[in-house]
Amino acid sequence: MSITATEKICDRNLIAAYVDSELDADLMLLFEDHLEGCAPCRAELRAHRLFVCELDAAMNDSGEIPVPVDFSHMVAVRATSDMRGVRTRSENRKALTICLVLALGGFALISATARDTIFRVARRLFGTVFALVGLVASTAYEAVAGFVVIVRALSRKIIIETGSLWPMLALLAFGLLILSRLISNYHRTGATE
Amino acid sequence: MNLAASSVSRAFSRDLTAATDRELVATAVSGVEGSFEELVRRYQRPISAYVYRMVGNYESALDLTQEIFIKVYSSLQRYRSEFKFSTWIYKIAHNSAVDHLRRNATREQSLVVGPEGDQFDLPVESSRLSPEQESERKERRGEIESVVRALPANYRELIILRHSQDLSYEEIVEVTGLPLGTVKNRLFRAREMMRQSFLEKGITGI
Repeated sequence: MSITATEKICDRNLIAAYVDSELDADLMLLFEDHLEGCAPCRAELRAHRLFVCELDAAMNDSGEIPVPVDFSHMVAVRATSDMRGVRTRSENRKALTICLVLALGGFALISATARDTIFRVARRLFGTVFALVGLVASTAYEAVAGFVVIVRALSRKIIIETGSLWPMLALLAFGLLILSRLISNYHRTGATE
Repeated sequence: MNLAASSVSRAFSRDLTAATDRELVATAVSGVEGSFEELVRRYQRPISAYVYRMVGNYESALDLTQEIFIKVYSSLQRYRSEFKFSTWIYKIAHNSAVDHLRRNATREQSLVVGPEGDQFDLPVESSRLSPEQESERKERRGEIESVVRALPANYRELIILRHSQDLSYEEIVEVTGLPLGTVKNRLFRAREMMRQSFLEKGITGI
């Protein structure tokens, strides 16, 4: 046995492993050789062994704490009802498929039972919208038609019955004026933008 | 796995107590009622004792034990049968206990022995000893328990796993994830600390 080996073998950690029978065969032989010539290690080993025996006895004696009578049943029920247990891909895929099938089935059932109701409501809604659009259109048409009739009657009264062209010319001049103003306004707006 | 599980489930559904741990895991995974409960029944005492010694509080120990078994159940499919089930369950218990201690900031601390409010006197097996001897033995066990509690958590755990749960060094390495050298070193140092503590208290003969 070399000096290095002797020094190494004096490592006190080996005493614990030796007492616990956790040294491999070669190291154990080496350590036992070392013990024959090393009184401090022998003393340490004796003390350590006694202490470990006492510790083992004490800790095995007083090993358990009381658990409630139904503890195992209670825990098993809680564990099996906990959905966190469902974790594998196949389980997730299966759960997703079932959810999709259920959702589609639900939609199908709902639409089958509510088909008549939905169509009736939709028909009534479209009827109301069409009636409103028709009313607005006919009102606008009547308004435009009434305006045209009034303008025609007025123009006849003014131009034909008076027999003069002045009102016609005045109207034309007014129109041209308005038109020029509109054109100038348009150009001004374009310039500012 | 499924075929094996189904054959095992047929064979053991009536007598779960005779099944091995691995068989119970297989049947629990395949959904045989009572398999997981049997596993809990087998390990509830050692796991609760280990947890109690780690956290030092009876109520917390029971809650944590419950949490551990729920984690075990949710991880059953990941259990690989080439490993010992007991080592695997202790590993889960170790992780939970360490998390608990970290949450409560006592990872590196010893358990403070307070006014005994939440503590529980661990029972001592009765034997044919005289009342005096019984009392002396109880006192000795109490001293040892209090010294174990006073150890820092990372030393205390190794003492518990080795002396209370009878785990080998190899199993302790698997459970704690520590290198073998560290396990040997810490066990030796933990025992030395305890012996020193007894000497300081004037207790001899241990």
